[in-house]
This record gives sequence, C-alpha cells and structure tokens, in this order.
Amino acid sequence: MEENAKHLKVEELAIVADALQIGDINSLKKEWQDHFSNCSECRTAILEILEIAEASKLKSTEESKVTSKNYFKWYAAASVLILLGFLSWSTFRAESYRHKLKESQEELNAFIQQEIDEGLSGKTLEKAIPETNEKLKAQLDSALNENKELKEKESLFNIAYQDNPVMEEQRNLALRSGSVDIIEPNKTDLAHAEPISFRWKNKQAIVCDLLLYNNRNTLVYQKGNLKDHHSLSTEKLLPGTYYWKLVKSEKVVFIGKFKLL
Amino acid sequence: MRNEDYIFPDEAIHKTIERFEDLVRIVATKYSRNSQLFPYTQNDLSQYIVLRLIENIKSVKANYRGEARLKTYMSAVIRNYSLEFIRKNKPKSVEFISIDNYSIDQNSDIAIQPLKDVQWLVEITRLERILKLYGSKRSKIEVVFKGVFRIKVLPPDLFYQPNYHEYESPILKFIAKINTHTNLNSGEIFTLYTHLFNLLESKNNSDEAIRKWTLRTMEEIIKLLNDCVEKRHYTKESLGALFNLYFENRNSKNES
Repeated sequence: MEENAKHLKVEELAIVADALQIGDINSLKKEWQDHFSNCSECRTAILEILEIAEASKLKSTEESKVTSKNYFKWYAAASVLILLGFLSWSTFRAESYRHKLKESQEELNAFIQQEIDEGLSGKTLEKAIPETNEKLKAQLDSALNENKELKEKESLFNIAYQDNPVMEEQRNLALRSGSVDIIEPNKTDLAHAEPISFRWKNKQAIVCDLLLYNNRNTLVYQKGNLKDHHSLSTEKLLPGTYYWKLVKSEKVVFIGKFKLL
Repeated sequence: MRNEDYIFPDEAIHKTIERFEDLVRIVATKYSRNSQLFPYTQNDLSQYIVLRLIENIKSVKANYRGEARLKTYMSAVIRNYSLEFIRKNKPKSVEFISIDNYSIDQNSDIAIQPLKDVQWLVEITRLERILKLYGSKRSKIEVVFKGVFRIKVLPPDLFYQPNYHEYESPILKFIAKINTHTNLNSGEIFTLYTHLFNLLESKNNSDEAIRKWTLRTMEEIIKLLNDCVEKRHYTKESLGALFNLYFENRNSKNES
C-alpha cells in the first residue's frame, strides 16, 4: 500500500477519530480521506486514539447528557405535552369566543327590544330595512356592471389575440419554402411601446416590401424597398396578434407572426 | 458558546494532569504489554508521560484548535509521548532472560479477554470502523474476503464497480463459480479474483499480486483488531468468523 510521507497531525488524527466514532467519516476533508485510506500508520493511530478515548472514564458533556435514544423519548414527551397544551388552549379560547358571541347576541337583542319599547314602531324598523336593502342592491348592481365591463374588455382582448386561420395557412405554406432566414423578431411575444426590429437574410440579396396585418387581415402598415432590416414603432398599434409579410414582386417570400402585449 | 468538550480549561498544571490521569493509565497499560517497554515498567512510562505533559503543557494548549474533542486530542498527545518513550528506549540487542525472572503483572486491571467471552456486536463495530478507514478500498476488501472466507458473494457486492453493467455477465459467472464450487483451493480462488479484477480494472496483474495484497490487508486488519486497549488474539480463522458475523449483521440490517 502507498503511504504518504506527510502524515496527519495530532489534532487532525483526533478529528478523524471523533468522526469515526459518530460514523461521519465522509464529511472529512478529501485529502485526509485519501491519506488514511492509503497509510497504515495513520489508520493504526486513528484507531488507537479512538479506543483510548473511549476506554477513558472521562465523561464528555455530550456523553453525560441524555443519549440520542433518550433524546427521542424526551422530544416525544415534550411534543405530546405541547399538543395537549395547545388543544386545551384552543378549547378554552373557543369556549370564551362562544361565550362572548352569546353575550353580544344578548346585547343586540336587548338593544332591539329597547328600541322597540322606547316607541320606535316596528314599521320604522321595517322601513329601515328596505332602505338598507336598496342601498345594498345599488352597490351590487354597480359591482355587477363593473364586472360586465371587465368581461367585455376581456372578450375584446381575447378577440384581438385570436389567430387568423387564413393567415395561418398562408404562413405554413410560406415557411415551407424557406427562401429567407429571419434574424429578428426572434420571439413571438413582444412588449408594447418598444420598437420592433425586423431583420432577415436572403441569399439572393433581393429587395422586399414589408407589410403588417392585424388578425382581421387588415393592412395596418407597409414599407417598401427594404434590403434586410426595418424598425417599426409600436406606439400606434393596439395590443393583439399581427402577421408580417415580406413580399417581392407581388410574391410572398415570408410570413411571420407576433403578439403585441 | 462552544461546548466545553472543545475547550482547554485554564487551570493549574496539576489539575490538568489529574484531569487526564485516566488517559495516562490506559495508554501506559496498553503499551506495557508484550514486553514492549522491557526493561522499563508501566510506572516508568506513566511518569515519562506526566513529565512530558508538565514540560509541554503550554504548547499542547497552544496547538489545540478546538476542532477535535479535548479528550480525543489528549489521547493522541499522550499516545505520541508513549511511542516516543518506546522509540527512545528500544533495546539495541536481544537479551535472553530466565523465565523465573519474568512474571506476568497480576495486578493489571486490563485483562486479556479470551475470544469466547467477547461481545460480538462490539467487535463488529470495531471491524466496521477499521474497514471505513480504508475508504474506497473497502468494497474491494469485502468482496475478496468473502471469497477467501467462503462467504456467499452477491451481485450488490460488486455494484461499487463503475462498469458493473458493462461486465454484468462475466461478474455473474464469477459469482456463480465462487459460490457453487466449494472445493476450490485458495490458489484457484485467487485466480478467479485476478481474472475478474483484471477485466473490471483493465489491468494485467498476476494471481500472486492479489494474493499478496489480500494477505497483507488481512494481517493489517488482524493487527488493528488485536492491538487495542483490551487486548484480543485474532487469527486468520477467527477473523473469518468475525467477517461472517459482520456480513450477517449487515444483511439483517438491510432487510429490516
């Protein structure tokens, strides 16, 4: 067996012995592990040190404390006590809440009775209730209307983002031809209020027109005689799905798609 | 706040010596066995250790970083002093003494335990610790010793091999041979192991190489088992019995 001339130092041997005792030898430094796995002298030293330490009647504070097995019992007992304490406390609180609720109910009933006895007729109360009801109704209606508006807005948004089936079919055909390489836009979801950069590469270096359609196939923008790039401001564009076409001599070279968020 | 097991107490020297006199006694008893100290006695060694501690207490304290337990650290320090004493006083020539002048210390309170009275679980733990110190070699030692001591070899014993799946077929053939052919002699066993490890480790070792490695490792393990505070007398045969118990214990732990 190979033996490293540079043996472990006194405290290092002791550290390894401690680790061996608790079975945690893998947490030691790798260089130490490599050394003592190859050095019989250090192995002997480690074992002897451990056995001497274990044979000693010197009790460490860790050994004199409750052992790990007893720790478990103590933890279990403590957990049960805490649980019982919590249950008792919860029950007590629940009881006290019930008691308070009962008291409040009694107070309310007494107040109502007092109001009635002091001359307010039942009709006044009856009149008050519908008034409250009307107020509540009005609030509810207003909320419902708001909700309705929101839903309408939502449906409009949904429509704006729908795909156009005709454009999708044309796009598939154009993609199959593959006569131009698109560099930008290289993602489909684009942030509003940022200019869109269109960049492409074609082998024949042809000059194209850029046409932009919304998802209802309405032309919203066009620019002609572009070599390989164009930048478009999105300020006037609404959020939704758009299709962009590169066209040369009325022939569609590419159809792309993006969503303006 | 650090645990007091990791703090060197600031106290008078004689208090420190008193604190560790148990360790001194254990170490002196251990190293006075087998006439290692001859013509010196256990008392001579104890006195030497105490004197060295008194001389060097400052540097012993200064060198202690608090990373090992104080008791373990002092065990290492006191052990070093003992080895120093043995080295310095090693006899230069062999003396023949009359048996009448040589007596066994009847007052020794560390008795030599016969094997039959040994607590096997303690021994299994000791063996496990020794094997752990072999690090990555442990798995190979276990699989070879299984064959040598005619303990059943199982496929999981060779799972530690990174190319197990690549050589699964020859491994299983090896296992079948070594487990079923009970009449194999030690030479044939080492031949089988040589073929297996040459294949798995892409080496070209001879049968003799693995035999020497096995015997060397066995001797070392026996020495480590025997050379402890409470002396043992392991031999190759009793080592085999211990290994049998060790594997049985491990299998029953895995099953549970």
